Amino acid sequence: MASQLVSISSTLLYVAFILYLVAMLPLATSIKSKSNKPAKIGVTMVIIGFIMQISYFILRWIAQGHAPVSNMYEFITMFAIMIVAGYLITYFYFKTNIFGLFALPISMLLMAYGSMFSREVEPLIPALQSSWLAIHVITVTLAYGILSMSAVAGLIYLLKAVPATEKSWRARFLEAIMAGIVTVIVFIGTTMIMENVVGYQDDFLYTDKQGQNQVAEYHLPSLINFEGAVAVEHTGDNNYEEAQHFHTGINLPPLIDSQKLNTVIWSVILGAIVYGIIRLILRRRIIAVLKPWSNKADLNLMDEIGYRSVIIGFPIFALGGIFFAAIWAQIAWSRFWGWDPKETWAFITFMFYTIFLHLRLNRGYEGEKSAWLAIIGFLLILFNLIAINLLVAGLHSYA
Amino acid sequence: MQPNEIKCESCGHVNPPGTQLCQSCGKMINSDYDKDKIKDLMRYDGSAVRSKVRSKSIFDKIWIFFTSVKVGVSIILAIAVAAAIGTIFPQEYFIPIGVDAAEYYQENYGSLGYLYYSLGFHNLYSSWWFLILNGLLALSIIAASIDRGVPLFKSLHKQRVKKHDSFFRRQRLYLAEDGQPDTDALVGAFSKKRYKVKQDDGNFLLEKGRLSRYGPYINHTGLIILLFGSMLRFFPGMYVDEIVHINEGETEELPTTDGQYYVKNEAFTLDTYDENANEVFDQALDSSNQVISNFQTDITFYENNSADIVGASPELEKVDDYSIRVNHPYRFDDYELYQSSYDNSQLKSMTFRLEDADGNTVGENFTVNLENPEESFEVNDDISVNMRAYSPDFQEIAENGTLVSATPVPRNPAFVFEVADGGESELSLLQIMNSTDITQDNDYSIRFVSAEEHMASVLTLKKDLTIPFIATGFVIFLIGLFIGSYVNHRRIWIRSEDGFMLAAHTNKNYFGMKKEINEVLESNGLGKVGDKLDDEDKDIDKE
Amino acid sequence: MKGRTRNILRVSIITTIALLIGITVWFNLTSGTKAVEVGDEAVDFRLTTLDGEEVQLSELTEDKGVILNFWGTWCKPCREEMPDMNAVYLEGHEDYEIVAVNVAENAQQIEQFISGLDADLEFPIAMDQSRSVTEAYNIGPLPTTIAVSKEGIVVKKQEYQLTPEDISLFISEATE
Repeated sequence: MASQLVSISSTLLYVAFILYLVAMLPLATSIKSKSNKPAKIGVTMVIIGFIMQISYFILRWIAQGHAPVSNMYEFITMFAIMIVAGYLITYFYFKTNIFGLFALPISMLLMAYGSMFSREVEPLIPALQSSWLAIHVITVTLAYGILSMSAVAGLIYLLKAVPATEKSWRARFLEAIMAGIVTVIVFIGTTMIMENVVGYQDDFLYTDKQGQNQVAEYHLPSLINFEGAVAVEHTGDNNYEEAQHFHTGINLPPLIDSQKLNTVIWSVILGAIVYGIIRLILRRRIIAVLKPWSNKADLNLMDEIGYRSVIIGFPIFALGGIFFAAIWAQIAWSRFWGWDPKETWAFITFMFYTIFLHLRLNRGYEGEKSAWLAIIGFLLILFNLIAINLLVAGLHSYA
Repeated sequence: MQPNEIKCESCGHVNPPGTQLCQSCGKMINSDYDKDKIKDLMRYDGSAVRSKVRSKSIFDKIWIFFTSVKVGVSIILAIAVAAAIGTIFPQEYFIPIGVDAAEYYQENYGSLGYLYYSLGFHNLYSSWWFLILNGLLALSIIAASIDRGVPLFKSLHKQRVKKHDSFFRRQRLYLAEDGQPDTDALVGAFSKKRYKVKQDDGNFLLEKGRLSRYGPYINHTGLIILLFGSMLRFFPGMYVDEIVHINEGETEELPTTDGQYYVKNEAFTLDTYDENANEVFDQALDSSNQVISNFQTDITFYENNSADIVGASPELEKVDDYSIRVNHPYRFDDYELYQSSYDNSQLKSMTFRLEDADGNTVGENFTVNLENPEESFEVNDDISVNMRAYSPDFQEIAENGTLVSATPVPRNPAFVFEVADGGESELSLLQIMNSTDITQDNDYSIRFVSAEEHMASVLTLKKDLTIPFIATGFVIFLIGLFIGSYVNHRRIWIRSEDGFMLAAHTNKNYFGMKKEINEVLESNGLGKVGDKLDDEDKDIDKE
Repeated sequence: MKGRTRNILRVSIITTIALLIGITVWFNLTSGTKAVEVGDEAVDFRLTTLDGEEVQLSELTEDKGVILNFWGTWCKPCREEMPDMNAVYLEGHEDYEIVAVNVAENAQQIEQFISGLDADLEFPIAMDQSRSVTEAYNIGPLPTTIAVSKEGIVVKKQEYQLTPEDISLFISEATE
């Protein structure tokens, strides 16, 4: 019974993803169209998708008995849902059609990325067995979703304000963000294809930091491997025997997770190649291609949305990400603040938005400057959400 | 027409259009500059920012330095960057206990790690310079708040209802009508929207949400309390963080309580999720080894009635029973006891058996308690085994024949056993994985059977008297933040002498205010307010 | 007048903050050094000796200086200084007393150690099994020897092995 609920909820999430993908079409038409119809169709589809995502959340909660916010898959999915929530709030308040065209792809990318982590339903370890888990994570992701809207507004602002052919740093940075998004898409695409479609798998036996033997499953050819890694093959149960796998011969000490680094290097190489091909086909910058979509945007309105979403999201972040977090940390770990890497980066995010508000209110950082800051803020959120969990072993590493 | 950026004449800072006071130095910007001021003009309403008035002593100079938002932002940035540096490598409290820090960083992170250690970054968050940075932040917050808060308060308190024509025209939201609309009905409609009304002849000032303007000052007050609280952490007696290691069945004195409180570990439980857990977990439980579901220490809490003299054997009186679990600490006085971890690495006892020359076991097995060993064990009616020497952590045999221990911890126990069989006795040395006969031609040999470990619960004893300050500070901060962010200060000026004029200002969300005003205006048969920013935009589009 | 109020406000806020930062940094840099120092009042304690008798510091200091020697059987310098201390003690101890405080070992280990010596130890061996006395004195390395005067004040402290000369010095300090 419960297992069925889990599979239904996963299906709902999948359908929502497809729905968002399809909704991009009417949303794109709505910008050039004189009639209001395409926008209505698009937004209706998004609302249906959002309801499905909410149902995913509720069903999975019922099935596993705790809020589905306890591992990387659930957490990133939650963030993606909150971005859609943020978009819908923004849409109904400001009635701006263009917003969805940029907010939805970000949410979909996150959903795809989240689904790369283990989707299994897992029981809670003792530290997570607390109602603060749901309270803390839901408020934080809500704040993240709202704060992300400022980055979306900033992106649209910059696409319109920055001349695409300009030989300037601002144009290059903006193009670099596009190249980064291409790399992320390539990364998600290749990993999924190599793992699930091609079924590429090279196993390597290595000794980790604690001196224990581990098997690393490489789904991409090994460019970089662990020191003293031996190519092995899985022969059922827990047995492995030596085998021949492709390897360049570059090895790094176990302090660095060579397997993740290998994936990152592949993504950067493939991302660069794909980006190069795109440039060759387009014969101009990606921002130049996207520019027409942003031209209808009202710069003042984008600036207003960018500022408003920070001013609304920041107090919620302070409440959920700092205050609730501190209360729970006091109960579970005996200290409300311990400078754990995740806590520290939440603190840095908090400080960053403090700087944003002070610069904006007292030093006139409006328009373009404010848009850049909003994008940096979003990158900080992503860094704290994803990179810290993967790079640094801390109390929050539930990946 | 495009509004101009305004360059301050005294300091050269370029301000956005509409600024009245220079954002950098606070000087009043030339009063006859372009009258098309839009954005920022109501911030201080003409009250001079305090620090800009005059400067004299060294204290004044320090003060003025710290009132600058630029300096404040730099301090925040410095703290954020420092915090980020602290996450490059783990801080010292995350590395294994008892390991030499210098060696650890060198070994694990190479010369970069050693540099990190040498610069003191392994204890960054309690370093003197990080503390000073936070102190400077406090000074900056206080100085900037007083400097801006006092004039703001004054200007909001003595607002004049009557405003000059040019004032109306300068506002971002502005409407002028030739006719003479029903002002009373209009004002009535606004007061229904919870605007407070002030009147001076045909002039009206409608205002709401003034509290919003005090939000930043409220949240800064909260932050000062919070910073003060976190400073108290370093004062003696405010903060206790001790590890209490209690073997199952044993009673330990709680440190820092002057022998007043004792805790007995009645039982330590470690539960894992089993197959009977929710079926949805089956897959996860199959693929990973074991998932722990509960750590629990059942304790009995005692108070010592003879706590006045150190070392005296305690007179314990039972106070309470409790099961400490993760997320469920035990509280007493100002203290809390948390389940932290467990330790089953220490040996508790070893069991041996006696074997004769033919390899047959003789009599009963015997168990040696490694903490407090007995001297003699009866194996059967005729034979007894006497422990002649014992070393918990065997190092060597001393010149005088005794066993030398490297530490008092039973890590590598060694024994000299004497097997007494009526008149005869023979000696043998037993170590882990090894046994040596001391007397020659021994008939008996002693064999190791099994060992039992201690199950110790590791609890954290915590006292933190700074929490009330920090919690109060943060709650005030949050209240201020929400007020400042979620409440909008909206003011509308109406003039119905010689024609009708309406102008409006808000500290944020002009979009929402425009909607609100236009709704009221429309229902009173008036046109929409003009938004200067929209006009500009149209101008730009035309170009 | 308004100018004066403002000046007072500024000066007092700046000095308060500077002072608080100073105190905090000072506490931070000096934390963890609360070990017993010469000149401190010796903490009174009561322990059971190996012979099963009770020994209380304040009773001893009523008419004698006291030398506290914190030790363990597993510590080499402790083992080496024990016979020297015993020899000096046997020469007479009318005006002083030695208390060898064993840190958290059981009677079997102590007796085993003594049985390996040439002569029995004459001074009382107090057993601090719960380490409460060791912690009250914040003892770092073993052996640590502390001389307590008749007034109950710590007059000398040494955190390494005692030579026979050191022992005499301790006795003269304690009996002064």
